[in-house]
Amino acid sequence: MKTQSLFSSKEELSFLRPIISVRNLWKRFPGVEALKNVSLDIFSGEIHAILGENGAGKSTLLKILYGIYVPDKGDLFFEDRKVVITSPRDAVKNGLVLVSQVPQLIDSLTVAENLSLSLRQFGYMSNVKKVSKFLSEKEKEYGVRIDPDVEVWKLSYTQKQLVEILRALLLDAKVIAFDEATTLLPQTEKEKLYEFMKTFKDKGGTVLLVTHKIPEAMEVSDRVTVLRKGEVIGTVKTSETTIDQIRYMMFGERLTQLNSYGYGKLSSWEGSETLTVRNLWVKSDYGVYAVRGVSFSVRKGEILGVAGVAGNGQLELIQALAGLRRVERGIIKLRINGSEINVTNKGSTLIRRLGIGYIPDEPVKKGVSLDNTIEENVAVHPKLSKFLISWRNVKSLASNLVREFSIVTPSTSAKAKVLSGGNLMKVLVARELTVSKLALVAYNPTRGLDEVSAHYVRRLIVNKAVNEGMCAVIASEDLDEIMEMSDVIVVMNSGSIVGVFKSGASREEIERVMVS
Amino acid sequence: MEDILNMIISPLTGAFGVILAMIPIFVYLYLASLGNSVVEKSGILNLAIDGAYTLGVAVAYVMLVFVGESIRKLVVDPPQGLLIPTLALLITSLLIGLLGVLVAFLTTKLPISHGAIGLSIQFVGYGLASFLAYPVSLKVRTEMISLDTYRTVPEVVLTFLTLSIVIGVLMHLLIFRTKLGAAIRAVGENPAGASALGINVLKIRIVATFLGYVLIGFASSLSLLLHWKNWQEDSGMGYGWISFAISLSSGRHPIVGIITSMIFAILIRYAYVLQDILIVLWGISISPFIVYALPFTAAVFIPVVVTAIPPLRRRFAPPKYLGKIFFSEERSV
Repeated sequence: MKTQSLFSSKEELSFLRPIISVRNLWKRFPGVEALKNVSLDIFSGEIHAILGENGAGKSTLLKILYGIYVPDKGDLFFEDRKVVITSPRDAVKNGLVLVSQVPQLIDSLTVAENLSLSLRQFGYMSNVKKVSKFLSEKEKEYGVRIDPDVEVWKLSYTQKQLVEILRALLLDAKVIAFDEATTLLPQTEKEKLYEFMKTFKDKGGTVLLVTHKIPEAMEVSDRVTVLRKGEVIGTVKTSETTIDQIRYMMFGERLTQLNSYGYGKLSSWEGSETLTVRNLWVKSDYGVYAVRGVSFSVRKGEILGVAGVAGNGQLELIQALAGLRRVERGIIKLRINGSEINVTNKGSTLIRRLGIGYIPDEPVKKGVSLDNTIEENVAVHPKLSKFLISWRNVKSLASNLVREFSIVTPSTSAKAKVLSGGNLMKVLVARELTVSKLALVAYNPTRGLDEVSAHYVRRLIVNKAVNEGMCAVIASEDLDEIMEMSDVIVVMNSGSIVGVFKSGASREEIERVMVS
Repeated sequence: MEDILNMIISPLTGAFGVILAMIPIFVYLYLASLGNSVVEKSGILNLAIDGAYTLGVAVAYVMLVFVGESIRKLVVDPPQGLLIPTLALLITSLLIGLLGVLVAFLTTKLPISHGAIGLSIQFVGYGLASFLAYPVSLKVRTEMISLDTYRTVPEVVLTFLTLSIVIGVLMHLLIFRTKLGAAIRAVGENPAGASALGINVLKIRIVATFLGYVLIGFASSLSLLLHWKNWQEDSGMGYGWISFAISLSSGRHPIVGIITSMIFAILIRYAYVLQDILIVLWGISISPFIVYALPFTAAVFIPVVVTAIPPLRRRFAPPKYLGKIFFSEERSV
C-alpha cells in the first residue's frame, strides 16, 4: 500500500491524465433535456464529486457512463480510448464499477451467488460453493466479514453496500462510482466509507462521487463538478472553493429561497390527542414481530419523530398507521371533531379518506405510478376522487401543485417516469400534504431531495402542523431531519420504543439510545 | 365386494400394476412442469405452455410417421422398439426448444406484455398442431401405417421414470448450485439488478427457455409415444396447463415437483376409478364430465391452497419480476 505522502508527490502528474473523458454529451427523455452538451474529465487518482440538485442530470450522466442509458450524441473516452458503452458489462470491462444508493443485488440470492454473476473467472457451470470459498479467502485479504452463504435480504443496508464495494474490488475496478451511496448510511458508517474512498485513492484508484450533499463533497473530494439543469456549470478544486460558492453554482438564483426558508414558531395548538396508538404489535414480511408493544399519542399540531437505525420496526409501524400492514395486537385511534374512531385494521382507503396523508418508504415503487400522468397520480387518491373523476378539478389541482411546489415537468399530463427522482418525490409530497387534514405519516419524506427541496418540504410539513393543526408521525433514517422537525422524538430499537426526547435533546444522547 | 374393487382398480394385477399404470403420466407431467419451472424462474410468464405442449404432441406424431417411413425406406429390416420413437422424441424436443427461444426473445426484447405474447403463441400452437398432424393422421388411417411407439412394459416405463428423476435432480443442482442457476434466478427476480451485475438478461433467458421448452417438448412427445400411442384432434390440450399448475403448486422447485406431479398423475389415472368406487361403496353417482374436470379443478385448487398457507407462500413465492416487462432503455429513477 502506498502512503499518503507518496501519493501526494504524484498528485499533480496523475491529474494530467484523464481516466474518463466525456465530450459533448446529449441525452433527451420525452419532454426533458436531461443532459445538454456535457463535457467533463475525471483524472486518475482523484476523488471527483459531481454535485447537482434534483433533476440536474447527475444520475443520467452516471447511467450513461455505466451503460444503462445510451447517449443521443457525444463521445466517451476511457484512458484516451474512445469507447461505446452499451451495458454495465462494457463499463466493468473498462474498469468502472458502480455502487448505488439502492444496492443492485438480488435479494433472494446469497452473497456468493450475487458476486459470482460478476466474476468472469467462474464459468456458468461453476459450483457456487467454489465461489463461496474464493470469497472467504478474499474477504480475509480485504478485512471484510460477511458470510458469503447468507441470502442478501438478511443483510443490513450497510452490509449490502459493503458487498457492492467488495464486488468493485474483486473486479479490479480502476474507478468506483458512488451514486448517492451514502444517503442512507448512519454517520459512523459514512465516515468508514469516506475512509475507504481515501484508501482506495491512495492505492491509485479513482473515485467518482455523485451526490447532492455539499458537505460530503467538501469532506472527501479533490475536485467538484457542478451540474445544473443538464449543463456543466463548472469544475473547481475543492481546496480552492467554499460551500457558499458551490451552493451558488448548484442553485443559482434559487439559493435565495433557501435563505428565506425558516421554520415558524412551533405549534401552540391546545387540545387532546389526534392520534393514539396503544400496545401495537405488527409483524414484518418474514412473519416475526417487527413492532413490539409500541404506545404513543400525538396531539393536534404536534410532530412526532421516530428515530432509529434502519430496520428496527419503523417501517412496519408507519405502514400499520397507514392501514397497509395488519395489526396483530393493539389499537390505533383517531379523534375527529371530538369523537374517537378506532381505525385498527380498517384498511387504507378509509384511513386516507379520513384525512391521513402517507409518504411511503420507496416512493417510486409505492407512492406514485410511473406509467401514469401527474394528473392520474393525483386523481387516484381516494380523498381526491370518488366514483367519478372530475378531470377539470384534477387538472387545476395538479397545475396548482406543480406551481406551488416548483415541480419541473413538461406538463401535468406528462407521465411520472419522465420526471427526475426529486421532482417525483415532490409530486407525492404535494398530493399527500393536500389531503392530510388530520395527520401525516411518513417514512423518509425527503429522501433523495436536494438541500433546497428537502428544506422546502420540511418547512411545508412544519407549517401545516403549526398553521392548520395537522399532526404528523415522521420516521426517518436521517436523524438531522427528525431533530429539525419534531416536537417529540421517540427512538425505536428492536421494535420497541426505547427513548423519548423533547425537541432540543442532545444528538449524542439520541444516537446512544439508537445503537445501544 | 373386494373382488369387485380389485377388478375396478386395475386390469393388471396388484399394487405394482396400479403404480405402473400411473408412471407414464407422472413422467410427462413432471418433465413438463420442470420445463415450466425453469422458464418461469427466469421471469418469463409461460402462458404459451399449453400451445407448446399440444404442438409437441402433434410434432412427435408427425415425426414418428416421418422418421418411421424414412428408416423403412433406407433399411430393409428396420430395428423394432426404441430407435424410431427415440428419434421422434429428440427431434421434437429440439424443435419445441427453438419455440422457447422465440418466446424468450419476444418477451425480453420487446416491451410487449408476456400475457399477449404467451397467449398468442398458445393459439398459434393449437392451430399449427392440427395443421401439421391432421393430414398425417388421415394418411396413417388410409394407408394403415403402424406406429412405432414405445411399448408400455416395466423395463421401458421404469427407464423413463429413472430418467425423469435424474433430470429433476440435475435441474435442482443446476438451479441451486451453479452460477447459471444463480443467473437464471437473478434475471427472474430483478433483471435490472442482474444486468448491473454484468448479466446479459436476454442470453440467460434464452438459455433457460430453451432448456425449459426442450423439456416440455420431451414431455409432450412422451405422452404420445408412451401413453396415448395415437393422435387425434386436440391431443395434449390442457396438459400444458396441468403442468403449469403442478409447477406453480410446487413453488417451481424441482424436487417438490415430484410430489405434486404424483398427486396429479393419480388424479388423472384414477379419477374414473373413484367414480366406480363411489357407486360400489355408497351408491353415489357422479357425472363423467365432473370426473373429467377433476384434474383441472385440482389445477386451480392445489395452487390456491399452497399459496394460502403463509410459510409455503413465502417459500413458494413466484420470482418477483415474473411476467413484468423488462425494457432497459426506459427512464426510471
